[in-house]
Amino acid sequence: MSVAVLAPLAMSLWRSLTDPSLGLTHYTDLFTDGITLTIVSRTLMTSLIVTVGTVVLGYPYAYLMTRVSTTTRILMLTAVLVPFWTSMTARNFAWLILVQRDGPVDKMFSAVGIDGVVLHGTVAGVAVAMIQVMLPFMVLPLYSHMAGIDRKLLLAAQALGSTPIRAFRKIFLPLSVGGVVSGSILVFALSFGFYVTPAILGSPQQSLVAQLLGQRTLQLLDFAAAGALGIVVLLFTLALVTVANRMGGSVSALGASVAKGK
Amino acid sequence: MKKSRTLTAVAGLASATLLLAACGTGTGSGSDGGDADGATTMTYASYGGTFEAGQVSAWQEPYTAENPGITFANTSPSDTAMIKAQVESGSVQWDLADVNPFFAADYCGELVEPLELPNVDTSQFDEALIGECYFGAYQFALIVSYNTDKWPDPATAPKTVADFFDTEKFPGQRGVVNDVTNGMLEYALMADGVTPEELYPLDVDRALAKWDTIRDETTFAANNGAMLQLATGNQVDMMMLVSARTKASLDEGAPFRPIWDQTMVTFHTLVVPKGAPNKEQAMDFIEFVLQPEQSAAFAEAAGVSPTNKEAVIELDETATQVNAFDEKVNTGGVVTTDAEWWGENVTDVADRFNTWLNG
Repeated sequence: MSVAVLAPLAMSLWRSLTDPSLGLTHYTDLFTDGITLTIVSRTLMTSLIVTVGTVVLGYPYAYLMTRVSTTTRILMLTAVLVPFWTSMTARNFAWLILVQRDGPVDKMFSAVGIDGVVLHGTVAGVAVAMIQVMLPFMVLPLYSHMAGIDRKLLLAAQALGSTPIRAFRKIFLPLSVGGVVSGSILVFALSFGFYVTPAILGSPQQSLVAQLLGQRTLQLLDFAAAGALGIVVLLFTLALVTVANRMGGSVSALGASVAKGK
Repeated sequence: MKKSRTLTAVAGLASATLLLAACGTGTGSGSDGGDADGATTMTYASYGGTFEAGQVSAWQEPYTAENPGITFANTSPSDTAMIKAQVESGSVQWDLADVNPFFAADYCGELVEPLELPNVDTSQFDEALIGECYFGAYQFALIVSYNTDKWPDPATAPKTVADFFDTEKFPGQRGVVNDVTNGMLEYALMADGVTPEELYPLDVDRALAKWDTIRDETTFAANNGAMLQLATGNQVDMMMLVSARTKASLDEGAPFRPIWDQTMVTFHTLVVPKGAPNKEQAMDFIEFVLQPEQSAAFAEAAGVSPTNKEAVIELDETATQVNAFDEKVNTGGVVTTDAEWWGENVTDVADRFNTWLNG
């Protein structure tokens, strides 16, 4: 497994430093070619919006899952997982139909007097669809984490005179931070290298990192420059994970989520 | 332990993108080359779907009928990155690939074999279609068309390429495929007053400056399929789309009518990757498909145009409507892409175009 991952990685790294001649040209080009930085910062911004969006939607949802009966919980879990199991391409095309010109979203806004809301081909459209696609990656670690929080602590706080809201804010919220961090790393890291949604819903004018990589590899046949960009993306993601791990999150929480449901 | 597993998991996720760079894409099916009893399987790379099926029925099956023992293994897509990866790694699996001539001209002798086609009658072909490493196997036009819902009266509808770039006279959404080599730069220059004879070498800055004037009203589709979807979904008012897909949009009832001013034509070639296992047989196959019958059969099957002037094809109504080579239909002219110029400049121009597009 590690050979399968590391060998091509090492080859990419080697090539990015030696082709056509030894040096860091491909890396310095990333900062000076006037396009990579624009696209990387656009991708960072999109990933950030998607991460925040999934937290805002996923947190209350996961919290609710810890408070309902087993049957309802299974229903809620299924509601999260069914889209997760549906073909990625099919889901993205469904979004395409929703957000294109004269699509339901456009018509809905037109009905209330706002014309020309065509999200297709914009970063906004990509972000909205990616939030939906990424939601399971946020809800599952969040739920897994929240399910492990001892609710007796909240009862104790209330017995000592705290209001339920205050008890939630002072006890539950800090204890759930680990889940938020885990979910955020996952969603952010996946969003940063995401290809399908930007390719279908975005536009070449608003391309993200994965499209740039695809273009350098498939169209320009510049494997060395693509390798350099890939290495930078990888290092960036690893740095992010390391920092997040220090903050107490962990990606492996994801695997435990379903098994741990009470 | 937990931490290192986490790191491994994320490294796996992130390196998926790197694998793309390291290996190119897709997997070619293996070729078993020559066999003791003379049976040979040639690995053939095309573009899948009905297009590839057309090459199978029009080219491969008749070839196998004439040359028993020679069969084909088909793979797709025919990514040039794959050819580069195969040649560089020294394990070439593809014997034949259907690619654009710019790649063939750019990497002639380096990634693709110079063509040896002594039995082809070159007088049957336009000389723009012939180079050292390419020989046009089929050609197609980039049709400029307008939406007849938007402009129902032909008298006041857009009539020239310049009208495509004139959003004051003809306001509305434009659509074009994000492929700088397909003729979009040439159209911009002709709209700006450059004559077809003076097009090459292309003034890329001038072409991009022309596109700048309508960039806010233009949807750049990721590929031909996406552009077709924009057309059938009535998302654009004017578009540039290859002839076969323009025909497909008409077949699905999309309200478009071609503008017959100057029409850009480009072509594809079969190439033999450098060091292909069955090089001689592959060259023989290329000679076979350039004959009038094969040229016509594939053109009819795939909605492209034959390169052999002797080929006679029969087209249905919508295919006729977009046939730039039919002088009764196309009242304007035809300009064939300069494969040599594009071969020399494609990487640089693609880079500049992409920077412009994302700028």
